[in-house]
Amino acid sequence: MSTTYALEARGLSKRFGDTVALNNLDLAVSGGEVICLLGANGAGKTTTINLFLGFLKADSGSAYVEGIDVSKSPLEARRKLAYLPESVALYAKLSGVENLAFFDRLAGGSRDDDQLAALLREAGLPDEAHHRLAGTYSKGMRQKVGIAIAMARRATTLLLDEPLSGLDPSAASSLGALIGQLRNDGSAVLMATHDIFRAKEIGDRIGIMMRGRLVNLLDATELDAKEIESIYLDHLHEVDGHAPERAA
Amino acid sequence: MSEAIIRKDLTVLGRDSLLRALLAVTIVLVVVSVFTGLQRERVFVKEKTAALETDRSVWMNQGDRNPHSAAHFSRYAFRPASPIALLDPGTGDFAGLAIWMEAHYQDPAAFRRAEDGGELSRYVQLTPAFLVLTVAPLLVFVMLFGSIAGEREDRTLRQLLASGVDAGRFFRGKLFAGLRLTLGGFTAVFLPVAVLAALLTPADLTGDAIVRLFVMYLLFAAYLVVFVALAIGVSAIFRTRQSAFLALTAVWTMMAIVVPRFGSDIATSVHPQPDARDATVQLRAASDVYYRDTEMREQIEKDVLAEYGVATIEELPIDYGAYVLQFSEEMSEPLFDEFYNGLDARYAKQEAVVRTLSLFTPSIAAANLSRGVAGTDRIHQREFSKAAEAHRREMVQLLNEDYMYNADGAGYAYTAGTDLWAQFEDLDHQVPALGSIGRAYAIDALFMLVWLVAAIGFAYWSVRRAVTGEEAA
Repeated sequence: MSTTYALEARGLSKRFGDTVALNNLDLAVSGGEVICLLGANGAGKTTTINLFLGFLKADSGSAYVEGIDVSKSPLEARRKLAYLPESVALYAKLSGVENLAFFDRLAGGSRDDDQLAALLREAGLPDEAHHRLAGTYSKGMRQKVGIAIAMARRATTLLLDEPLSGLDPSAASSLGALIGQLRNDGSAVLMATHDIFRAKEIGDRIGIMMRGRLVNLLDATELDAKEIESIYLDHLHEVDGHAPERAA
Repeated sequence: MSEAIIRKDLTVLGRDSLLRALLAVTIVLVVVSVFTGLQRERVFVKEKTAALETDRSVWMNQGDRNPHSAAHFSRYAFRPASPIALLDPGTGDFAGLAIWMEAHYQDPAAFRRAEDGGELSRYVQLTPAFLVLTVAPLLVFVMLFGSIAGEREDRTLRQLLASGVDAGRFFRGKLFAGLRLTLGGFTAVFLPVAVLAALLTPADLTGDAIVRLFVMYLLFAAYLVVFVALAIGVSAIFRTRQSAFLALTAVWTMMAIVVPRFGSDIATSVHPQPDARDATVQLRAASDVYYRDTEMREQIEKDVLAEYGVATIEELPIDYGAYVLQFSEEMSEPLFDEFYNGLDARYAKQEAVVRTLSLFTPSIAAANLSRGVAGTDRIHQREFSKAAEAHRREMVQLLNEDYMYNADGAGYAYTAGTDLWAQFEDLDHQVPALGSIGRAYAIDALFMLVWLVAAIGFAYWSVRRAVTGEEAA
């Protein structure tokens, strides 16, 4: 009997002209697990996320979300997902509560203001910010509203594309804690990042991506950040053919 | 799901201070246009009533005189006031309010209000129709230029798509938000204006006028739907608000200003206005046709003498001079018809040229329909002219025949009095029922329908394309 994963890629490939953006990716993410895809720009992390979202059409292979073939039913697959981009886009002329209410209604929900406020609070957005226009929010606050939106949608599968990028350490730490909380509640998380230390902190497994290939899938609990960095640089050396510059 | 998008868009647009300011300015313009329209129509009806009474009084009190002299003394026929002309005065100000009904001559309509207007009135007529046909599309564009471009620029479209919103629902949400705001605002303004027009109109409010008001509402609403769809379609092409705004401003300039104006200029180049002096010469020739043909005059005299079996004019039981007057009238009539039908055909050709440019803008078809529905177009004016001419011919025949049969050898010394004058009543021409002129506007209605379907189709195609592009971005 085959297992149904929250996210599964089977031989997934994508080219843009002559450039191979993703090469034969095999990957599975289960509920209660965070996998961080680690790699430089152009490694194929965002392409992987876009293929799971159905924003891109795979040249070969398949992407599944909770057993749904994304290429066949992209909308159905998206409705199972929550997506948190590098910078969550909110409507500047709506408050945090109104933004959340909108995305809640979009997903068929009908939470009242108190329930929405509770979600925002749970996501870490201070009460005083709930009714302020989102145009005045910092990036960290927007990311928190993005998490609240994901929680409101009750999605148990999350795709996070560099969600911590550009956040101050405190905001990144609190968002990391939130992601951990979602994982503990049973959610499956696939997170793209180029931050080794955050990947180690948040991820259960770390997938190292180089030029469209998943070159290694490490157990984050068994390695420390230095070891992960070392492995990463070794792979970089293999791919680029130059000696890695290791940190002292 | 579409409802969520509609509510969100309405909330966001409602918080736009620029839009609120524009709405306030628009309301002021509407109030001013309705007030000036009402004033204009009231003045028209008041002046018409006064002129009609004076004209009737002068006619009835002209004393005893020869009926043919009375035919020259004559009367005015006044154009009927359309109860909804205040919404769209159309060509009314340029077409003349009254026709002088005199013997031997079919006069064109006189007393053009445009001639009495100041220089400023030549630039812009601030009427409700102008506001809907020219200003409202700009307001719609200002309101909706960021509808899709803004979502793309802010990356919220990607967020929406990732939430499982498909292109169809997104399109419906955007379209219905734009329509709800535009048509809601339009209805909120049009309804009180219509009620005001119905209550305060100095003209008779007939069932036909109420039908016309309703058709006018539907026409304007359909016209605004076209621009809402165009706004969404163009907005979806661009990735930034600024680009979308510039593109829509260009679209508005072309559609609402340049093409209609260009069409009018082309039309008058292709089918120029008749030269006023030539027209006068032709009308004079039509009027004098009998008197210029000596051979024919002699033949007619012989025919009349033969018909009555007498040898001389003096022996005739009728006044031969009066007979000739009526005969010459009837000879001139087909020539007058030919001249005025030719003139009307020329105007119709000009309209056809302008109408061709409806391929590039819905404004032309909508303006044609608006004038037609308001009863202020060429066709209504032509119907009035025809009715006035029929009335003139009836009057002249009545007077000539009285002279012919009752002169009893007195010739031009024969006089008639009030009893005869009283037989000639005021022209009672009413605005024709809308249904009777409907066929003349079938092409314009078809153009509007095509624009409606094409604009919505374009918007849908454009939004789908934007969604696909955003997914691949």
